[in-house]
Amino acid sequence: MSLRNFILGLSASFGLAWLLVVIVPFIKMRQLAPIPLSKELDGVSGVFYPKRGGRIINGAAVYGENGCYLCHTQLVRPTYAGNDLYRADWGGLAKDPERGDTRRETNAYDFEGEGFAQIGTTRMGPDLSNLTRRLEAAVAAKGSGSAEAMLYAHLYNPRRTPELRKSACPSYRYLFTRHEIKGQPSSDALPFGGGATTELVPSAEAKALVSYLLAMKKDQPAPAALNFAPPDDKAASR
Amino acid sequence: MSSAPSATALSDATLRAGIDRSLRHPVMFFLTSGAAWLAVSILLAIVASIKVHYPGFMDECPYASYGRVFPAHINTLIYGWGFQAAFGVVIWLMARMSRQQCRAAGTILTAGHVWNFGVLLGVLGILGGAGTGMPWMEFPRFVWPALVLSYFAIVVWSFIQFRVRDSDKSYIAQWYLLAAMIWFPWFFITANGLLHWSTGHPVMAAGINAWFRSAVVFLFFIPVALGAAYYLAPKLTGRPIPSLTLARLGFWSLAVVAPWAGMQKLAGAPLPVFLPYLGAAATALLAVPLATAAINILRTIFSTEEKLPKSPALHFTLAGLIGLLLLAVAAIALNLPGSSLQLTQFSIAGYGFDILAIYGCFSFIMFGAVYFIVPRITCREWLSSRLINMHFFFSAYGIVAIAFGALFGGFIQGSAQEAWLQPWETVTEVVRPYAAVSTFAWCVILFSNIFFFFHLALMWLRLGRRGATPTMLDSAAADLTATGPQAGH
Amino acid sequence: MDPTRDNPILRFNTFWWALWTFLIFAVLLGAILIANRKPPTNLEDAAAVARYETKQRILKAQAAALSSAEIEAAIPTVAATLHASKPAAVETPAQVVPGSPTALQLAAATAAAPAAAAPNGAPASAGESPAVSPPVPAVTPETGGQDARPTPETGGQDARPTPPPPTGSPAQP
Repeated sequence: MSLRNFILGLSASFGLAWLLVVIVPFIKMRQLAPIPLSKELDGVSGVFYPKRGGRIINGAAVYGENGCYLCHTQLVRPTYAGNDLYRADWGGLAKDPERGDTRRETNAYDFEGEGFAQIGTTRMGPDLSNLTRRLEAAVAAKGSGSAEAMLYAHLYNPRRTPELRKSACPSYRYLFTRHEIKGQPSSDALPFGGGATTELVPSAEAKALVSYLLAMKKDQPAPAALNFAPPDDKAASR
Repeated sequence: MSSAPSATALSDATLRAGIDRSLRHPVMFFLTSGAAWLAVSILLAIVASIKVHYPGFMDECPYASYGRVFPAHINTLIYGWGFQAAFGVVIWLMARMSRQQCRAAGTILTAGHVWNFGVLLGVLGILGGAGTGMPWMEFPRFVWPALVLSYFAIVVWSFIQFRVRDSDKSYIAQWYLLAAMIWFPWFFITANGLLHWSTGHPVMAAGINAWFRSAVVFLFFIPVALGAAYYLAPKLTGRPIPSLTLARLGFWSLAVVAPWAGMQKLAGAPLPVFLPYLGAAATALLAVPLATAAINILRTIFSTEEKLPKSPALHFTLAGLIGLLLLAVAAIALNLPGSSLQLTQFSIAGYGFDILAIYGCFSFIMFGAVYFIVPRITCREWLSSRLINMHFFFSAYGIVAIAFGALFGGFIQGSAQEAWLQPWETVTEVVRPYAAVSTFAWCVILFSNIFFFFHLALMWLRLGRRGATPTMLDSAAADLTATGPQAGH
Repeated sequence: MDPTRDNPILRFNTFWWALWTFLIFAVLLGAILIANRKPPTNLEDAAAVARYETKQRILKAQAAALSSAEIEAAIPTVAATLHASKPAAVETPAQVVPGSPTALQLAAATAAAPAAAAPNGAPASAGESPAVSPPVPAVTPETGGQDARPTPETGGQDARPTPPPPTGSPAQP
């Protein structure tokens, strides 16, 4: 076999896979056709457009730079690929006070605006797709606090609360700065760690990261065309 | 004609010595700097691993955050050690098998420095918080063009040597090495170009990243390892490869199957659903090329009746081939859709699989090649069989612990993840012992590589033993080697 | 041995050959991406279609409405009319300042003749009011204000198809 034929053979075997699993899906997925919403099925008209932008997208970069994707996933797999939808409140809230069962699998629009979907590699920690839904439910149950404050506290010291004392999550205290209180204390300041004249406040990076995490409510009703829930549940969720 | 053999032998020896001399500096540069990066990578692995079970360890320091140290570990392992070891071995093997002296040692050495500088900047970027957040592609985006350019300047000479070789025949080892040389820019430029310079759908970007990770292992590291093993095994045992057909089958099945693998890591993600399952099928099917090649080479080694001298190169190669067989088994075991794929998809088994491939198979065969090549290019023998023994055994124990710990632990972790009635905390609880095993095992591997690095540095400083007999692992066999197949350097 | 195989020309050719071999898929990729270069359309553009329609309607309505030049031209006429008109005491009860002497007077009057004044008063004032009310706004309620803002259909931070407002009884038991 001559060198030329060898290279041709390699090009053909590589090129076919290259084209079919990388290039064509890349080009096809680059611009997903917008999903029209129908008045009778979805209750509204127009197109499905989950909009995310601004500090949420900046936060996605902070998420990547600090390697959150190493331990956390952002994927609620359909039931044929895993049990994520069954796990309490991973795919959404099973008993949302207003909307009932909001659980659904991740869809292609959940990463709108990000350059790289942080699907993740390993689940050392929980899936984050609906993190803020869970936090808000916890806040509602407790009757005080806010999801934002909980996230700041968790980033600063993940093992602060007794139920998370065994968490393996690293502390991101380097995303916080200590400064002197001038006038009124900062509204974002951590409720702990401050002194009489100083307080711990999140840096711009921490704020962006928390904005990103606060957007982790990936249980918005999907349009009827993307809603793969069984027919009974579909009727119930409308 | 009667005097021809000895004259040929003499001119052959001269030719080989000339090739070795022409490549001495680049090869030693790649091997020593690769070994240094390996040490750095293992240190980072230890830090990362400690942090899994003692998350408070060094948590004041942003540069030592788990989320930065772990990518730095895996990237130094791949680009710092893996690629540089491969460069050193590939340029030497290609020159030897094409019987051509290297005429571009200076260019290769310069390009090697550029590569190292790129890796250094990339790692500092990751630790400084400028990583891209894409697994195995975390280097800041200015690094990869520099890597491509220096890569080209390093390996293009081997391509030329192959073309101008003085025979129409080619060795099986050359197929693998040549293919790895050609495949790397294909998938590296595709993945980096699409992810860094083009905008696509974010989920597809993650899919291409998963494909890239698989390609790094199966289209570069494994072919280089197999090329080296196909060279070393016949060379060290003096036996021919038993089956050319099997070798052809192994090579072309790898070429046909490997480019489809990788996206199974995104099973269940909102991608076209055929992509992850095609990836799972291809990865499971990779067991065929891996096992075919491993068995073919193992048959070469075991085809001889006589007791072989315990050559360190053969020892490491043999261990690497066993690693390859395990990898083939793991490729099937981890990728059965509907059962093990969803269990292990987001578990530490993925890390175990990668480390088994990169350290358990590729690095072991590279160590074997290093123990074979360095005495030839430095004209010195290894100083101590004890140091080599330490390197071998501690590395082997370490990798066995990591691979089995992570693969088995991955199944345990995956089962806990899928048991959705149990609270999530149980999942983090069950992984912890395996993380502890991993820390311990990395310490053992670091210990073993300290011997390796120390030994290699001594050889680099030309402090090796001068002598006619190569260093063998059992001293009793040393006298046999003068007449054994080893004699033909 | 074939000594003619190794010569500088072959080496030089092979160098370029290797370069093209290494770059073939990069070149292909570039070609494919360029061939598929479309004007970037994304969800924003798709969602904007409805907004552009609204904008067109508003612009049309604005164009159909009085132009400022016409208003400017009409001002002297209106001013002259206003100037010529004499202020007169307000008779309509709705326009009387509460608590003013007129209001007190009117209250006293209605208290005196409750049966006669009450049925007539309201229709009479309603009939008079168009003459004194300000000009009709240029933008009609259907096309104006409310629709121009982003609604859940056209965008918004957490845009999701919101169900119609509750009508009192649940749609499903």
